[in-house]
Amino acid sequence: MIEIIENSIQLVIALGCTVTAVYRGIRVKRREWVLMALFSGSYFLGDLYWLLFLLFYGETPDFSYIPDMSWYAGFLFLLILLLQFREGFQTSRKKILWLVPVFTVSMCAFYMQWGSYISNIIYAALLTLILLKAVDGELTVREGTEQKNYHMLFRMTMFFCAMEYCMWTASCFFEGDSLRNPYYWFDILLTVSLIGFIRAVRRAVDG
Amino acid sequence: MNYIENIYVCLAVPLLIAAICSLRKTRQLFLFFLAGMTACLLSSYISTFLAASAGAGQLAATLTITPPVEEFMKLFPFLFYLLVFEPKKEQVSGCMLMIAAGFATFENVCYLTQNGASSLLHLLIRGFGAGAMHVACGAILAGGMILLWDRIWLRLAGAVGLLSVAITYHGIYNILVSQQGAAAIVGYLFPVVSVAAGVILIRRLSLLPR
Repeated sequence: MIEIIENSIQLVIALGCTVTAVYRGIRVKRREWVLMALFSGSYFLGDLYWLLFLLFYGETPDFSYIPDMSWYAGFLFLLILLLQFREGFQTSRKKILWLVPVFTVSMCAFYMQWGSYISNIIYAALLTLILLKAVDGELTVREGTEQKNYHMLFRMTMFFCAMEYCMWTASCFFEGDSLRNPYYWFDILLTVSLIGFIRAVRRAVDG
Repeated sequence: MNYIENIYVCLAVPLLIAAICSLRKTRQLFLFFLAGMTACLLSSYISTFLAASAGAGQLAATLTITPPVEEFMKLFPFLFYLLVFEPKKEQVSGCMLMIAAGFATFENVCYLTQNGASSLLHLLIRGFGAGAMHVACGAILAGGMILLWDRIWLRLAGAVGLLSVAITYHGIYNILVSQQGAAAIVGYLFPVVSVAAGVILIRRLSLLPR
């Protein structure tokens, strides 16, 4: 039951974020808002498929690749959004960036004990690229320029990725459909980060 | 037994003759429509083969195999057109919508031959629902591609992302219409409402400066 409630909350917030992003896209006519709408819209569709399956069949889908595809698409649009904002940025090439692939590849190998290999590899590849762009962006933003407005977007992206990893890790160790399962706490925080993205994109686009 | 290839030949021949006799722009539309019908025929074969290989029942195949196969097959003629003919941005949406319309038309004809044409109300609901769903999936791809047109990498990455979105959208429709009662009605209305909303949005967003 808690899974249905929590999914419904995420669904409503993802829909709200999509509508807001579309509205802002129409108002200010900037592609960044279209990408934000595609990111939250993909998330919304993946959640909707998952929730409908839960409601009608009382279980999570045996073949979860259809909602997974929607979430891959969401990550892909987030990556394109970051690339769009990072146009004109210099890459920092700092050695600390190597920590990102080391972390994501290790986590991918760890999750492969439970999930499918292909799905884990796709998620790891997408999150590696997203995290690299976000961490690199955070390190190279120049204070005192227009770029300072991008801080929130890069930090929000890192927070979003961290919540994804916390959720997946929690699902490896905790089971049960109750609020005591930390999976649901992290999923709620991830839902909150979707609202944070709207604020972050607004700050980055409008200044 | 449903001889869909025979139905395909009967429908495709007049379209092909009309395409040969018509001028360039109209011919393109006929050929895209035909490409959509061909995609439908091939996806029917592929879905049946995959369902048999995986040992999936009709419901499992409808929910998990049909959406990706149909959306992939609709994308192929579109990708071929994009990569070989390198069309202008404004030519893209018409192409994808004709492919989707051809696909939906052939699917509806096959449905009629299998289930009969006695209930006009049911066929109207199904016609609008399935037709709008295929057009909506086509519009997701075409509309998204127009918005992400500037660079080739953006177009390719966008096509992958939008295809995934279209597959999930198709999956949601299939889940809803495979139920009984109110859920099925919501399922048939879901694409009609989203096509209407999409048309308004695309018109408002089509003047994006960047």
